[in-house]
Amino acid sequence: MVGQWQGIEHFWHMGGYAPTVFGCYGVVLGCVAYTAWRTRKRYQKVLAQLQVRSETGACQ
Amino acid sequence: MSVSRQRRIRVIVIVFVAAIAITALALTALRHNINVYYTPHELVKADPSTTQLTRLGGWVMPGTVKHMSKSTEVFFRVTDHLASVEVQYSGLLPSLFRENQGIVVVGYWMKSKGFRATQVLAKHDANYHPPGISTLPASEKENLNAR
Amino acid sequence: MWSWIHRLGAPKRSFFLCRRYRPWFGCLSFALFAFGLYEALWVAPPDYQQGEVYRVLFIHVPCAVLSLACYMVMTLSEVFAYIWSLTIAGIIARVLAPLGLLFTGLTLITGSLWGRPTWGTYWIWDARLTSELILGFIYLGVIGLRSALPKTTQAQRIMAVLTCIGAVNIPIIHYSVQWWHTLHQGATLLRWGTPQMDVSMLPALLLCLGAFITFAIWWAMSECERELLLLKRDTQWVKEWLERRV
Repeated sequence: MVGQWQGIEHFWHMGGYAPTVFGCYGVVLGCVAYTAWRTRKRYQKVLAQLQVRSETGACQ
Repeated sequence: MSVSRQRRIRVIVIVFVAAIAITALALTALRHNINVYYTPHELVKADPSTTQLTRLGGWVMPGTVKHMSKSTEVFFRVTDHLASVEVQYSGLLPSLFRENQGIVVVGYWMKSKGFRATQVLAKHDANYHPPGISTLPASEKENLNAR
Repeated sequence: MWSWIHRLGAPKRSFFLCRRYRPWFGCLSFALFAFGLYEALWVAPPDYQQGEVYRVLFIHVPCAVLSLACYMVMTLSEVFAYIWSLTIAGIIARVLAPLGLLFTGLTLITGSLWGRPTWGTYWIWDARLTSELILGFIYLGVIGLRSALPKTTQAQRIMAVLTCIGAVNIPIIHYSVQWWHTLHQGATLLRWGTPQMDVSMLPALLLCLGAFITFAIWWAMSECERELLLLKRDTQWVKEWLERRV
C-alpha cells in the first residue's frame, strides 16, 4: 500500500532527512532526560541536607 | 470577602484589562508591518519601491513554471486568485516547490518587469496524511475559500 | 466559601499529595514516551507532502503546547497567590518558569531544524516565530527578576502583576497564524472542527502530547516538594517525616 511504513531499512534512509529527524528527537529527549536527572539530584541533595540537620538537631 | 482581597482582585482585573487594551492598540497600529508578506493583490496596490526588500506570498500558478535551459533560472507566476505577479528567480528551489504550492518569495518588486526573487520559501499547510488518500481537494478548497 | 482552596493548598497537605501521586505520573510519562516514540518513528506513515521530515511535528507540537501551557498555569497560580495568598500557588508559579523556558527553547530549536528542509530557511521574522521568541524572553525576564528580588510578599505581588502582563502574549502566539500572513502553517490540532490530520498519525501525536504533559506534571510536583521541604524545614511535620524516613 502506498505510504505505508516500509520497515526497518526505510528507517535509516528517511529520504535524506534522518539527521534532521534524529537530531530533533535527540535534542528534545536529551534535554528532557537531563532535566529529570538534575531535578532528582537536586531533590536528593536537599533531602540529605535536611536529614543531616535533623539528626544533628536530635543529638543536641 | 475581606476588603483587602476585593482590592487585590480589582488590581488584577485592571492590570489584565489594561495590558490587553495596550497590546490590542499597538497591534492594530502595527498590523501592516507584522504581516510577513504581501499577497500579489496587496503588492500591486502597495507598490513598494524597487530598492526595498519585499516578500510576496501566494500560490504557484499552474502551467506558468518555465525553467530556462542550461541555467538555474526559473520564471513562474504567483497568484492569490485576485491578481498574479510574474516572478523571476535564479537558484535552487525548495523540495516542496511545485504547481499550486503555497510559497513566499523574498526579493525586489521591479514594477512592470515583475518580481525579482533572491530567495524562495515553501509554505506548507496544516494537513497531514499519507500519500494516496484523497482528502486533499476538499481541505485545499476550504483553504482557498478562507483566503 | 474559599476555605477548600486553603485546605487543599495547605503546605503539608500539598506535600503529601505530591509524594503520593508523583511516582504514578513518572511511570505514566515513561510509558507514554516509549509508546509515543514507537508510534511516531515506526508506525506513523510518511506525509503526502513533506515525506519523513514531518516526524519532527510529534515532538515540536507537544513542546510548543507546553511552552504556552506552562505560562498559563503560571499566570493562574500567580493570581491565586496574589488574591488568596496561597503558599503552594506561589511555589507552582516559581518552579514552572524554568520548565516553560526549556520548552520554549526546544520549540524554537526543533522548529528551525524542521523549517530548513521544508520552508528553505531556519528563521523568518513572521508573527508566530517572533511571538514565540518573545515568550522565551518573557520567561527569562520572569526568572531573572525573581532571582533579583527578595522573597517577600511585596516581591511576590510585583511578580504576579508582571506575569499577568506577560500573559497577553499567549493568545497572540496562538492566533498569530490567523491574524496575519505568516510562513508558519495554521493549527492542526487546537482548532474548531476536526483535526486536519489523518487517523493513522493522530495516535503518535496524542501519545507524545500525553508523555510531555505527564512529564511536566511529574517535574513540577518534584520541584514543589523540594521547595516545600526547604520552606517548612522547621515545622513539626517535616521533622517527623524525616525521622520516619531514616
